[in-house]
Amino acid sequence: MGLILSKAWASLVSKRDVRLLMVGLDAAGKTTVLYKLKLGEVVTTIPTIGFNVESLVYKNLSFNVWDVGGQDKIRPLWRHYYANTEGVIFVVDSSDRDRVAESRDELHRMLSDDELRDATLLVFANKRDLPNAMNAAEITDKLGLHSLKQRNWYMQSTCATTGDGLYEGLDWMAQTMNNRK
Amino acid sequence: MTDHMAALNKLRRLPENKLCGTCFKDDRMGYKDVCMKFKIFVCSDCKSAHQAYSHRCKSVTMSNWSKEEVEILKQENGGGNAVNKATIFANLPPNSSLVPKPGCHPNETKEFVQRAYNEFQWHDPNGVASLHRSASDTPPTNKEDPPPVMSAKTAPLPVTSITDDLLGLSMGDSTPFGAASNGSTNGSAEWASFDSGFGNFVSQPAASAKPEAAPTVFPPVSGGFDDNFGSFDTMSAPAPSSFGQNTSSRASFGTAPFEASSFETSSFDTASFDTAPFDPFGSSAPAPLNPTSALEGISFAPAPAAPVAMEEKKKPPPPAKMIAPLDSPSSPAGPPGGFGAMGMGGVAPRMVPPQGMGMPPMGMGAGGMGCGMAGMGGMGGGMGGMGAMGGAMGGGMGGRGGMGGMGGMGVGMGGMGGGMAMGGGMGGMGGGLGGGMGGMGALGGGMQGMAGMGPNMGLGAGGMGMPPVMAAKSNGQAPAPNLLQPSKAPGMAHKDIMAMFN
Repeated sequence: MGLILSKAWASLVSKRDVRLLMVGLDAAGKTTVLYKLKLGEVVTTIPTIGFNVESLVYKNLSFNVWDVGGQDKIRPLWRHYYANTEGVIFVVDSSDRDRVAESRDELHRMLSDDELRDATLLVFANKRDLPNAMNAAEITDKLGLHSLKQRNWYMQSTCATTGDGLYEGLDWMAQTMNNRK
Repeated sequence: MTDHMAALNKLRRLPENKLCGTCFKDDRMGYKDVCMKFKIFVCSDCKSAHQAYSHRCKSVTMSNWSKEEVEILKQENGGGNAVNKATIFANLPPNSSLVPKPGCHPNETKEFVQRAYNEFQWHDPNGVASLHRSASDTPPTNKEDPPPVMSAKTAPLPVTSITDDLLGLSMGDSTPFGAASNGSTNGSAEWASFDSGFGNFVSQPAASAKPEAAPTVFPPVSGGFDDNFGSFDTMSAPAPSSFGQNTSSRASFGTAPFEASSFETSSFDTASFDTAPFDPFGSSAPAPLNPTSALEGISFAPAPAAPVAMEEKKKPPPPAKMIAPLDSPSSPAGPPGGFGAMGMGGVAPRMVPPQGMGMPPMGMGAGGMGCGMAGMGGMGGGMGGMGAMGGAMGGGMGGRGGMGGMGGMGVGMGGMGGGMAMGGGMGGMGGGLGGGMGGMGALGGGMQGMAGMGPNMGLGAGGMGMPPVMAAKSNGQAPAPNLLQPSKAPGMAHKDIMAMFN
């Protein structure tokens, strides 16, 4: 009885740690997303050299979100963060039509890594407030998400500066993680 | 460095490109961000604003550049800030109050970018014609320079051509940077090397250094003021491995982004990461003495580069106060004494004088220039924390320099001490030295320095400040005295330092 109670209590208060990796091309808005989620405010960011990491407690999960710089010279370093990553947040600039193909290539290159075989994928189509932004369906198409077999993925259009869509995406991630354990 | 990268660096040092293409703020070194859509060099604030509208921006140091991308930035190809100003801002009234001021809210900058680049409020496509006319009237001096023909990797820019157009233009109003950072070495040679992206350091390492200053340790102090670290890797190839550590130790406390946002990251061209063996998990990375990182032992996660060269800004965003690195006493120290693969601490370059201080820009923070040598049998690991050499009131600047000095906690504090003490580098030396042994030690050292102790006291305090456990660890592995470059501490005699270790 005591055991049951303590387990029940533990399930109420304990936060499972989930390691999330947030990547995407440079200037997609990863750092802005991270700090909008963490602090609820828009911070002035500069190109991330290296990474930022914050833990976000959401629902009954404690997300450790790793935001890794996306400049082309440092993209090869992403793979160093793959180990033990349970979920990937891939951030795309919805209005950057020129580089959506580059995004797709980076995404598929990343997902082909064995260390990420079980990672769920959350795509943030960011900057949806910009006038010429592509909609979620278009980006889904251009990123080739439909070709992903056996990958649990979700597309969410967001605007990091207002916070629109961020928690919807995180909701999905939390739900997926809870189903998984 | 390839030809076109040299050309790019030359481009960004053109006088017109040293004025931000959007807010017209000037930067003595030239800007490192390029808005590709409008082919202009911009400051980091304006870059953020451009990026908010998905105007593609690239970093000179952090992006890969093709020859074509560099070519289109040239004025004859319609690029560069002069063309931009003549067209996009052709009808902008002079001294318009709409131009974003330094330190203004990002939204003002965004608003301005929106008007200028999205709505083309002041645009005049024929503005280029006037530019060509005036250009032919008074050809810029640099037009006479032949395009940079680079043969050797180690010579990014001919020093002479740089000094021609730079020494005269922007260095005239400058305060003695060279002297400040380097004690009594000759200032002009310092300057030349300072802006020439290191080239002459490689080719003539001892030209501006004192004879006893070993070039492997010395150059980053002055060369680091520029971000053009193309040859950095040639001098200290293993450096990135302990960069990784240092960065991660800071970043795991969540400080990185905020430091980053209050500073302009620039230095350490990632060329060094391309060529140097970067193995963040490898055996060459020193184990942190105090691995209490906030997040499950992740202090070895690879972080390629750190915001090392920093330009002080007027208003750091609020979070910077929240998690200043000083709040993290449990931070893993810099490369611990006796372990380290070679670790460069980091260099804080040019300091913009703090607003409202009314001080001349005297200070030069070479904060936390640290260097731990891979030692045999645990020898070495001396962190030469070059204290920020403050001018009269170098405190704040030194502090910045110190925090920037990214040898973890230790060096950071070292630099801080150096800046605070009027004596400049001495306190920093102490702190940095302590930093080599243990973070807390450095804290002590830095504090002592801050309290205005003399140079010798600062140095000694660095050692004394070590917590016992650190002391025990570093027992018998004291930093080899010859790793410290006493000549870098202005006014500090070599024998003083030697005496301290005897």
